[in-house]
Amino acid sequence: MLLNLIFALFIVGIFSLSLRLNKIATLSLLVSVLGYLSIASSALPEYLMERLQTPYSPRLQSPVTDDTAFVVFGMGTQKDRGR
Amino acid sequence: MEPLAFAYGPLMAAVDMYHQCAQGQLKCTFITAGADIAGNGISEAEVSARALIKAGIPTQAIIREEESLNTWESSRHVGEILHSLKPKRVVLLQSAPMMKRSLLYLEHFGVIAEPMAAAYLTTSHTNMSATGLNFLAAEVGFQEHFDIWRYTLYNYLGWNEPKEPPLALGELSQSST
Repeated sequence: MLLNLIFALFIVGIFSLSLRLNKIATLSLLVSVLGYLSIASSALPEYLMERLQTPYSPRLQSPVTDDTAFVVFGMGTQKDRGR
Repeated sequence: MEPLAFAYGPLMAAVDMYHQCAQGQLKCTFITAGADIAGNGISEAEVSARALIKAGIPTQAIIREEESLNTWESSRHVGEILHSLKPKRVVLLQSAPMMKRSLLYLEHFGVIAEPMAAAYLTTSHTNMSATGLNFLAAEVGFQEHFDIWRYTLYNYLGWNEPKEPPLALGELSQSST
């Protein structure tokens, strides 16, 4: 969706430019180019992932104990290809 | 059907936990959640359960919650299961980018779970350098932040169902949190 948004903004910018709506054109083109560069350079995704993932460890705080319930949420399915 | 790529991290963590439980002869229960969202005739919970069984976890150690269509509903239904199960400790095995939101939702339904993250998503500490990976991480990152902001806003506006009181766990969990 992000890529679509950036692309749409870019198109809006180009159209606005042809209609001589200079302020809208500049803003749209600037946001789309900066958006693309911040993602393609991995600066933005790294920042977002850092915020989401850093607080959590891949290990338990203490060894596993009796009568523990482990919860696994569904994260989508896909067709089992080739089997 | 098989779990989507993102699901394998938490499933592998579940298998690791099962081996530790079996080694210490401890009673552990695994709750898999998710309805048949794609309409394939098999629920996400069942697909996850089959993957766990295939990896050696006995079927009687797995509880399937097959009614929830999203993480919010999963949290509600898993909360109900945990309220009747009354375990001493609850651990959430979740993909690292989705951990914060999942813990928030579970807490809303009275479950204070201990996080154990898996499947970290990174774009810089990898030998797979692709712009597509950057867009995937940005997409996931924005979606997760948006959902957390939406939860906070709905809470503020009173649009979420009322918060449930914390689930009473055993002594072990209370001392470890």
